[in-house]
Amino acid sequence: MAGIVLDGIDVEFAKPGAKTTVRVLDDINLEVAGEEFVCLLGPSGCGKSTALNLIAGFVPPTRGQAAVDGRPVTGPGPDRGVVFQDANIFPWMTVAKNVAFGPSVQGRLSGRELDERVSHYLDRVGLAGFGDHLPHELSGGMRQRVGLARVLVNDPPVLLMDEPFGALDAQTRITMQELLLELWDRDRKTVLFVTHDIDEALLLGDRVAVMSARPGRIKTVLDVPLPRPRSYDAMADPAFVELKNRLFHELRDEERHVHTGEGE
Amino acid sequence: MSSATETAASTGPVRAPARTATRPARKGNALRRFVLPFVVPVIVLAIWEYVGREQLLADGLFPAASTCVMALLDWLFGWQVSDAFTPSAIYSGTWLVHMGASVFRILIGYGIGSLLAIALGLLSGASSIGRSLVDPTVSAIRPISVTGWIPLALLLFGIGDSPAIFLTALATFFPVYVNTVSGVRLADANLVRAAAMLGASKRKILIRVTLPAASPSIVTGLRVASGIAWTTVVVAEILGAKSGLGYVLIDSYNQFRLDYVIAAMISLGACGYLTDRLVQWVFADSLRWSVRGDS
Ligand SMILES: Nc1ncnc2c1ncn2[C@@H]1O[C@H](COP(=O)(O)OP(=O)(O)OP(=O)(O)O)[C@@H](O)[C@H]1O
Ligand SMILES: [Mg+2]
Repeated sequence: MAGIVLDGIDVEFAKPGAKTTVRVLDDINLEVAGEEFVCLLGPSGCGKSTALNLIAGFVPPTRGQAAVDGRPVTGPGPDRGVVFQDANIFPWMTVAKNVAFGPSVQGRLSGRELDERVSHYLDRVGLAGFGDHLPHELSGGMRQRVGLARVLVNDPPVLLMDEPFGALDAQTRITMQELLLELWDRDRKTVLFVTHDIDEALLLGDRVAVMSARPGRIKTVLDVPLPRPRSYDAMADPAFVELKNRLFHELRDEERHVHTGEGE
Repeated sequence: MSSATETAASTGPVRAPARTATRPARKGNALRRFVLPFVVPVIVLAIWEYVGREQLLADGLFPAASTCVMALLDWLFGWQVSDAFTPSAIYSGTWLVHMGASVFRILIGYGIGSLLAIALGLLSGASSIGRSLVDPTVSAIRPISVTGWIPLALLLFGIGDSPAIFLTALATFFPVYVNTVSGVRLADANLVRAAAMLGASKRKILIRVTLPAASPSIVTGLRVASGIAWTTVVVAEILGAKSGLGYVLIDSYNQFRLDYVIAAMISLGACGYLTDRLVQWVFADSLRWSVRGDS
């Protein structure tokens, strides 16, 4: 039942070369319930990754507090699995070693037990038989599967995903989205999923939070009342099309702000 | 190709363009690969042989190329082909012993120097406290060239293995340290984040992520250091040892045996080359991942 609470969060970064700071996130308030799937949608550069990194514990807030499962976030930890946009798996480790990394550094499992768990999760993400490969021998989609498996093997209650399928080709992206839906239907976790793709947000999320351009604020939060389990066919649903239209207009307004150079 | 055809063309400048156009490419490649590389060495060897036989240099002390090869064979195996040609030396048949002495000093010095450098480089690269603690001292000592340490090393350690080991350790430390620090600093910060997110402690991150991520750079440092190690050990042996390739080099010189001096030079070149290949080969497999450079 681990939920995420963002309470009055500001994040400021020092401007390189200058003494001033830039405010990237401005008074972010958002709650994600336990086992809920929320998508964070916004124009490029609005601070989506920063918000996710904050919950992951990579970036501290300037003001406000992030809490997961009722405990304030103080740093990264295995209770919050992060899936990165560029997979970010360890290039010198084989696929199996990458997946085994979490349990092995925590000293939780070893030997046969660990091997079994690793091959179970490789199987679940569709990588059975690739355990001995090095990352550079894999396609982009396969590397993302490794990134997902190495997190799932820790069985974290919270999944934080930062445009994990953004760099994939259209066909692979759909396959990966359906894989994620299938995994989530079987094994519910609290998910915060960052994307700038409207279709992806509606296909996956229970709710979609739209962010405004700089400084990043939560502009609207939309419910997605589409039935589950969902698949790619959900995109033909009239309700989907209507929601997509609304989100399209919300986003277009924000993109305009970005391109007319509002702010600085 | 172009240089090969130009060389051939110089015999018949008028017809050259036509011949260039019709000559098959493979012929030019064969010329370039199997003939051209040997042109300069053959000329140099011929002049060397001539100058040596006619005793034209250094009051006739400069030996012919063939004399040096005989000396090397004598030193290596105790093969004394002809007494008149290359008189037997006290080093006859002792090559392996002296090579072993040098290699022993290098192994110990290189081992101590590079292990210390990797440990301190990791500390200094990964933590700001470590950097403040280590970096100023290292930066202060680094500009002192290793040869400057020789008198102090001889005074502190006497004659024998110890000063050579000390100097080799000192000389190999710096390139490995500098490359380790830069490798650690340039290591992908996102991989460190990923490791922390997966539950690794600071210490585990350092050993299981930062160290391997920095390893291509560390290996570069180790390769540079292996060359420096040979240079250093030779200097140390010239000045403060009674064995080793460097000692034979200087002692033969003192006995006016320039054939042995050159045999020692050839030995040093071969050992340095083989050491570099060895270092490369040892780490080749563990660096297979970094060849294509993507993650
Ligand atoms: N460490 C940092 N230091 C300074 N500025 C930063 C830092 N990280 C991010 N920023 C700035 O904060 C803003 C938001 O960045 P962020 O990566 O969160 O955006 P995003 O919404 O994820 O964008 P994208 O969709 O392109 O990934 C950007 O203008 C970026 O330049
Ligand atoms: Mg981003």
